[in-house]
Amino acid sequence: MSIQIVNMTHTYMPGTPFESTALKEINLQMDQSEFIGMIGHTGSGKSTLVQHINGLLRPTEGKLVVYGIDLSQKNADLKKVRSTVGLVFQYPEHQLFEETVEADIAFGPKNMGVTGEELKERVHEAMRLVGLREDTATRSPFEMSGGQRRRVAIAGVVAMRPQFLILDEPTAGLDPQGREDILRLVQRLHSEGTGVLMVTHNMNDIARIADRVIVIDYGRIRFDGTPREVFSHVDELEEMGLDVPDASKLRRMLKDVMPDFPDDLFDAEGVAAYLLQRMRGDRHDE
Amino acid sequence: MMNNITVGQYLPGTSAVHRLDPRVKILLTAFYIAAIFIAKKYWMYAVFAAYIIAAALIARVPLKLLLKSIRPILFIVVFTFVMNLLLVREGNLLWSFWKIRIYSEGIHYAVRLALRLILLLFGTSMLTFTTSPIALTDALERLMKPLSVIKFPAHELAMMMTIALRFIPTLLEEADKIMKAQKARGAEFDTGNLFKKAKAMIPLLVPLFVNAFRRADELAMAMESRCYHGGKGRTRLRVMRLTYVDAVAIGINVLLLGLLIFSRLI
Repeated sequence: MSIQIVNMTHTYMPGTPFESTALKEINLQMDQSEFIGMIGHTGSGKSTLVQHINGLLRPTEGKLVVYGIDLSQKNADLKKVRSTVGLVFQYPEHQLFEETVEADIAFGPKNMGVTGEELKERVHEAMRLVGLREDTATRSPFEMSGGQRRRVAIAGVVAMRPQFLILDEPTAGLDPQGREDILRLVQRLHSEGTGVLMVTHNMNDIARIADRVIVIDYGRIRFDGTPREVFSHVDELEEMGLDVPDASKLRRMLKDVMPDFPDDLFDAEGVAAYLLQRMRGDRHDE
Repeated sequence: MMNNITVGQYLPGTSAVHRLDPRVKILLTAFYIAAIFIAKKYWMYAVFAAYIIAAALIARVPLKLLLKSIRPILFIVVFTFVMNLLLVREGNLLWSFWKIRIYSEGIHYAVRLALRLILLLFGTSMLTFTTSPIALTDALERLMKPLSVIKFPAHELAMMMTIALRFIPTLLEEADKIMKAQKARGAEFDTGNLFKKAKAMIPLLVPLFVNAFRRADELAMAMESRCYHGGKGRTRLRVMRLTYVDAVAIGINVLLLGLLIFSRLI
């Protein structure tokens, strides 16, 4: 297992009146082969969890091992962790600071000690992967569009060649085309061998592309399984203030009129295929 | 690192101290500051200390927090204490060793100034602990209003202060976020020499400024779209009125003034 979390708890500002427990006894294992979607309402502890895996926060209690490095230990090699696990924050375009796209993307690998030809190669590879044209390399990121800036920011993390990539709501605030592009990019990185953990509020996206879904509520893991399993709990998810994929809602509505409708269909294709089959079947019966 | 700033932290409450008119609180604080610098007798400092501690008890401000508020000026207190002790050459020579000479007046000066600085911080901290920043700026605007006769921009100044105060937590949060994001890209903020550390701040400061300007622009637009056009003819949601609590507070301070005058006469 690439990432192992055992009984991890995190408390903000312990010992002060502002003390609050953001994560409670989290147990989680994640493998590089997976594409994991993480959902939970605002303030559920998603971002806190994600920052632990990158070594930005330390567990208050419990154990966290990332690619063989024990992050509960004080002297853990954080640099190694950060070059192995890439973290793309929410609205990552807000952290761009260099004068050119090239220079900004090079910031991460440069901090890792990459120089010369290899640095150049990595920057250009990352640009190609996120779909930035070669001639944008020398432009200022501040004069680009929001969607383009986000690609630059993601390229900045991709250029560090992480084995595991974590993205915190990478599609927030983008238009449908921009969202589709980013999702396709993440899928491509995954197919090339990068583990992916993606935090999102868009259930349709998750249902379509993730092969495992984790639901966090009030600092605890409530569901962890395939989208098929997790999205069969429509009522519980809605109770937590979460949305469910449109197909799951449709399934619930159809179940009222067709009591034998299967519980585990969560994507549009599946529901459509089942309905088609049913309609054909009904016709045969007549 | 950003969680231990106590000066200027408002502790919400409904005590009598909280309910004082902010204008009265500002004026009384000004009187208090002047008074502790006029007072010379040690028992008078005890009176002022009792006054502030009583106010803290009424307002339910933890005394520990009040004590903590002197931390930012602790160095200045110690520094002026030592300087006064060593440099004042009045009164009787009490002790001498090599070039160090300590006189009786030196001790008095040193203790008095230290007490004054500590009491000063206690008093101003009590003001900010029990008054929300918005109420403070509102009151300042009202108090500065007479100055508009000489074209002093009281309203604009108060509005700028309100906005600045409002955005301090936002900017701190943002700085924390950017810092984390750059750390995730391998940046190091707390290693290396001073020059290296200063250079490491660039990836933090550039985005912070860019975002601050963007936000200022958005705020200006949002204010204009809600018909903001300066202070002229603007009515207030919270109208400040003097109540009996203010009368009691002013009464106590008149008593303090009497004591102060008495202490300087005898």
